[in-house]
Amino acid sequence: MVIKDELIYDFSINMPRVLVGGRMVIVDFVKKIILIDENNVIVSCGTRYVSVCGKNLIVRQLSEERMLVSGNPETIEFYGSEE
Amino acid sequence: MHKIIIRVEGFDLQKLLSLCLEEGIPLWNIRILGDLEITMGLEAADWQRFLKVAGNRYRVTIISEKGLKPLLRRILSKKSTLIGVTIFALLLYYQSCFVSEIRIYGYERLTEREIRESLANAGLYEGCSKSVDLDLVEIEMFRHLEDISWVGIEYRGNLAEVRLVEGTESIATPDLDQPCHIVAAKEGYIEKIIAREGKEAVSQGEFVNVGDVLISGILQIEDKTYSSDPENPMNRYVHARGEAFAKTVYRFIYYQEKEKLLKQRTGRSIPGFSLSIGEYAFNSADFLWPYDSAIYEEKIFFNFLRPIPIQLGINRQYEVDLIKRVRDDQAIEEQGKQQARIAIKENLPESVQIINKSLKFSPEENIIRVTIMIEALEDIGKKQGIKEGTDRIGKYTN
Repeated sequence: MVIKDELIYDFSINMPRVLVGGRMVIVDFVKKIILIDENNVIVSCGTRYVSVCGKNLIVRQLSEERMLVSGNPETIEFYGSEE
Repeated sequence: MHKIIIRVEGFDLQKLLSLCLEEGIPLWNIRILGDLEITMGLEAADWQRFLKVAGNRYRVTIISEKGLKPLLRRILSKKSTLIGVTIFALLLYYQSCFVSEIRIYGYERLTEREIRESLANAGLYEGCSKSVDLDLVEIEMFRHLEDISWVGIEYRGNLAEVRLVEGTESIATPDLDQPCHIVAAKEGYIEKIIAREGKEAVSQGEFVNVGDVLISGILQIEDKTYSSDPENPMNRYVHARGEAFAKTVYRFIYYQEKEKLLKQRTGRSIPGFSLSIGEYAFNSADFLWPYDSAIYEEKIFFNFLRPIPIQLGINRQYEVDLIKRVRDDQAIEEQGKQQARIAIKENLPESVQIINKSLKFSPEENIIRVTIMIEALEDIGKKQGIKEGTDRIGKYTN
């Protein structure tokens, strides 16, 4: 990763940032909850949307624009306009 | 730390979560139970802010509370339990103020009965208060029992442990005004003789056996006059004093294992527990030992002597594979040196100077024989009175 990409990664607070490991998904820069149920969590990260689909999803933590989702995540989608 | 678990019912629950996010109210463990119902946890400090955010659109119910504050509230609300626990704690404290058992270690010539009587006279007996001054008890012990050279008392809970060392009988040495020789207490090659009183009886390099006179207490009077009988010379008897240093050799034999046994844990283990009440003891490990070889580890949870002796512990048996490995030369040599140090510490007096030491390793069928030879320089002289009648006593001086 070049420096420019790293800076964009660190400071693009209106872009979605997702960290996935095992049965845990961490979504940063969460601005708004669009939809939440046991199999689907959709959040707005400012300019784009992140959708986590799976089974038995539980939001372990929701604070300071960070959402920790555990369960059995199957797909992660990004959509929305990139303005 | 005070957390509240709540249930929220209503429409548009995601909107409530977004508002909490905006207001900076941290939420934990959000579980979606249906389209209209979720449960979640939040800090009690954020409770009022959350109610303001939720408004009248949602029905909020507190399911449970966690943390120190609600725990204390729950405990304090149960008055009878609180009184019971307090009484139990007071009883425990009260019983911990008394000595319940006395154990005595280190006696050989004295009987346990004598020591216990002496302790009781000094104020330490089973059932007495632990506030008794142990220093005074020790002083009283020294007064009552003549043959002890050291005594130490310490408390381990309600148990008083008394350790004592009995004194050794002093070797009778001749009085300073009585004539005596200095004789060899052990075999050796004489290195140096310093005769402060008396006459050297051996020379440097000479080998002496036990009992040989090293510094004689009999001095012949050289009389030049004709009045004395040359056939029967007069002797002067003195109390011989001085040092006789000799090279002595000590030989010790120790043994070592040829192979070492390694206990490698396989990763499998089985838990168990032990409970003993009075004389009755139960240990699950006595009945349940599924492994051929295992390591047993136990952790005692509590051990009380009063009001009833009770002990509870948990244990675990770890399965191990026993692997035999031939020990390398370096490890054998290291242990040999350690054995030499132990031999010196246990068998040689502190005043002895070590000149040389050598180790010889002789492998035998299953063991290794270690021969330790130590060459030392030490004062081997000891005083021995001169028997009457063996020589004609003329005059002696100090």
